[in-house]
Amino acid sequence: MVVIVILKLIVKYEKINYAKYLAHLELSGIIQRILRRLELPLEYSSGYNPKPQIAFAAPLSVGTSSKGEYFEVRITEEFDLRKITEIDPSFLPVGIKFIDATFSTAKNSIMAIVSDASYILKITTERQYEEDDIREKLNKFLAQDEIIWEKIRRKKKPITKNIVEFINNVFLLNTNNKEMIFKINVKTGSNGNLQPDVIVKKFIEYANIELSDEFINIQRQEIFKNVNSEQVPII
Amino acid sequence: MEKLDKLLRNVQNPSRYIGGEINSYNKEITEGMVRFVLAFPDIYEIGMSYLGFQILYNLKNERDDIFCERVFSPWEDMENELRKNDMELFTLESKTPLKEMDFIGFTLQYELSYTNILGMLDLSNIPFRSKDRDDDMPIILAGGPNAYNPEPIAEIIDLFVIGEGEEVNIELIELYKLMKKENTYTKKTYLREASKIEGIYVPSLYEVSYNKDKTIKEFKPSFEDVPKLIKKRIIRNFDGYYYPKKVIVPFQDVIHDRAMIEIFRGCTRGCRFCQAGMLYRPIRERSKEDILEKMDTLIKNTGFEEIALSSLSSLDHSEVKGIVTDFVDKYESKKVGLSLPSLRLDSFAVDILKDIQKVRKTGLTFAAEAGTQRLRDVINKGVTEENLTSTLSEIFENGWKRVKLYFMLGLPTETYEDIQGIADLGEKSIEMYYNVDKSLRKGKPTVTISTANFVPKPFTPFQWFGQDTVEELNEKHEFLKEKITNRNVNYNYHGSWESSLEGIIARGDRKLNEVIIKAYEKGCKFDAWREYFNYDLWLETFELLNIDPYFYNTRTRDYSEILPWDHLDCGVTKEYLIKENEKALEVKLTTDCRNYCTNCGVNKQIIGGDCYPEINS
Ligand code: SF4
Repeated sequence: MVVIVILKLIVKYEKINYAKYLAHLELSGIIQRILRRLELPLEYSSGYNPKPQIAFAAPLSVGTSSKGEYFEVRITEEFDLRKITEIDPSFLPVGIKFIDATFSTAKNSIMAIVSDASYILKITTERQYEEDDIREKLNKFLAQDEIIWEKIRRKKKPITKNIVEFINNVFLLNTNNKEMIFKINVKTGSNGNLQPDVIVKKFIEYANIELSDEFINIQRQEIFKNVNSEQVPII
Repeated sequence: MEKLDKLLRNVQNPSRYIGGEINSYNKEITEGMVRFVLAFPDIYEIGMSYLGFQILYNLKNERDDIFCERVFSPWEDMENELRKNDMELFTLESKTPLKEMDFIGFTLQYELSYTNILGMLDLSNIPFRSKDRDDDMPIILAGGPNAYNPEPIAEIIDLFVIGEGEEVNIELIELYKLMKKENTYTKKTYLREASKIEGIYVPSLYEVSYNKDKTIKEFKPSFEDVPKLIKKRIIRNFDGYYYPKKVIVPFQDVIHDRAMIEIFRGCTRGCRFCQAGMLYRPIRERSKEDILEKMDTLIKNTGFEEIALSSLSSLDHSEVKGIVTDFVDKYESKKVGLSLPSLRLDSFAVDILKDIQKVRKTGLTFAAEAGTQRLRDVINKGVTEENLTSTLSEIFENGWKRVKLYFMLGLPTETYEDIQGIADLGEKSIEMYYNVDKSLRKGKPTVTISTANFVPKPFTPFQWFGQDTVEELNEKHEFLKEKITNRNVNYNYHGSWESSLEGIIARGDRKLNEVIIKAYEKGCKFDAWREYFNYDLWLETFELLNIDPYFYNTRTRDYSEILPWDHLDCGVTKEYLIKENEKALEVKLTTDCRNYCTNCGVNKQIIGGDCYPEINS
């Protein structure tokens, strides 16, 4: 029997600053060109318009920054990984940084192994709230059996969903300067997909918090896979 | 950043405004640094695909004493955000309001972008008219093909660059630096000095008077030391001349998402409808070595998967065959493709295409321009019926089944027979496809016929011609739509109303300044975009100001009339243009410059010698 080994390069990168406004397709195009420019041994799709085959670990909304993003791309052979980890910053758009890289022969695509993700969220409030008070409310909020979220869909009936089962944990980091910062860990990828701001929105509602600005600032921190029931970063 | 976040998160395609692309510049602002912003009066995706824009950006930024940034028209959602938040339009690089620049340089590629110039000034709180801007305001210049009729925006722009901009851009900045250093700078003194630089036109230094019939009576400089005739600038020795080593790798799906290498300037064909063909004479090639070397550098510095050979007629390069084969040999394995903009229909094209498609199969667009041999001869498009048919069958034999044929409607002397000819060609193409041996065919063919409406342009033999009216053009579209019956032939065409406005502005005079400003104030913007274009609002504006729009587009002019652009000199003489127009009416061809020189004037006016010393001596 012929065993076909698929060789892949997995790269961890960050997407911060204005680069957070790059849409998925744009970023994919940019990464393609960066990899070509590095003259890596890329495996191209066949057909009239050969392209390197790039996959991202988990979708990230436009406007959300991230300290821990991943993509994988098929390659034909291994090479010196310093080409990636020590890449000349001028090869990258402002706000994109390659942090780490590894080779993989895993059969599963990178999307399939994602289990959880962690985020930092920041809201700005109308007035300063007592930290202890908010913390207590948060604990009660999380202790509920049910947190029902109504997802509004275009031209379709909204769906309701109990989001409790998707929440791993939520911490209040602080409530200084009329700001509240949360650290949230949620199930992601094949485990389900819950946008972390939904939790914060539900909590704002629950605790009657008044915002000075509707906008919730979100930064993804890390994407995890599940190894022996433990969350470990993708690479 | 937080302030901009507020705007960016509320707009579609926020990456249009963020900058920071690979190969873009961001410099620390230092004392005495000249701040220049290249402004494109349309959205990012459009502006970023223009080669000249990228050339001028890099040329300036390679100098430490200049920081050249970019700005594009914001889409409506961003415009609303800016207004709502009481913010001004900002540059992509350093997010600085335009008012803080030393220069704002607009690229003029099409007439229907003029209201967007006003939109950008408006969002920057910069007064529209040159005379209302004081010494603290940036100098506003403009260049590009439309600068060859600067009059419709002559009261808005401070100075125009006529011809190729590379050298002259730097000269303008040098003059500015010098005057600033010597403390002699005022806007007035600067413009006066700049008017003496070859290729610079400062409209405020000229006076125009009109006859009773509204034609121009006299056009003259207000001062003795201001040139009467403004000669265009060209780069004489193009081979080996400056070309950016890197170009910005744009975000978004820009129209031409690929690197471009300009392989020559000018064109020798002499098509009579083509403004670029007249404006960019004489032909100047880069050598094969120069081109291949520059392509290597560009690919290395961008990672683009495709590179286009750019020029007015790329297959006319004397070494194009060698360039293509050498390139394909080298880059086939690296999967870098080549592309050629629209092609002439001849067998040489097919030959080259076979090489190119080794990497990537691109769609084929052929410029046939007119439906009958007679009309093709009128416009001096030296393509024969024989060329057309044999090329098409060769294409089909080689496995292509999609072609796009490009034509113009409303050409001088056109009859319905000529339009019928377009439909016939479509039909014939399909026939030819099925004449190809069955084993070589792959399914059903698609032929797309695309028509643009002919708009007479300054400095062409047809500059006196009265353009078709909207009604005439509409009738022609309807006729052609009816005649195209084959299910495998698609037909698409440009709107007649857009072409009408384009025609008005293209040959307009100074009176149009108030029309354009008024039209903008009434709400006209993004006129090149179907969803915004509002012809009725334009007509309303003309009426309000009591100016007849058709005076400019559908009126046939006399050879003796002083035209609004007569004070500019692109090298080709009026006598030559008249001769060419007469020959067109007599259906007589003019030969390609490579056969022999027909004395258009560029030799005497601009280069002071022969274009092809080796042929003509
Ligand atoms: S001077 Fe002669 S060769 Fe040169 S562009 Fe004119 S017609 Fe052609």
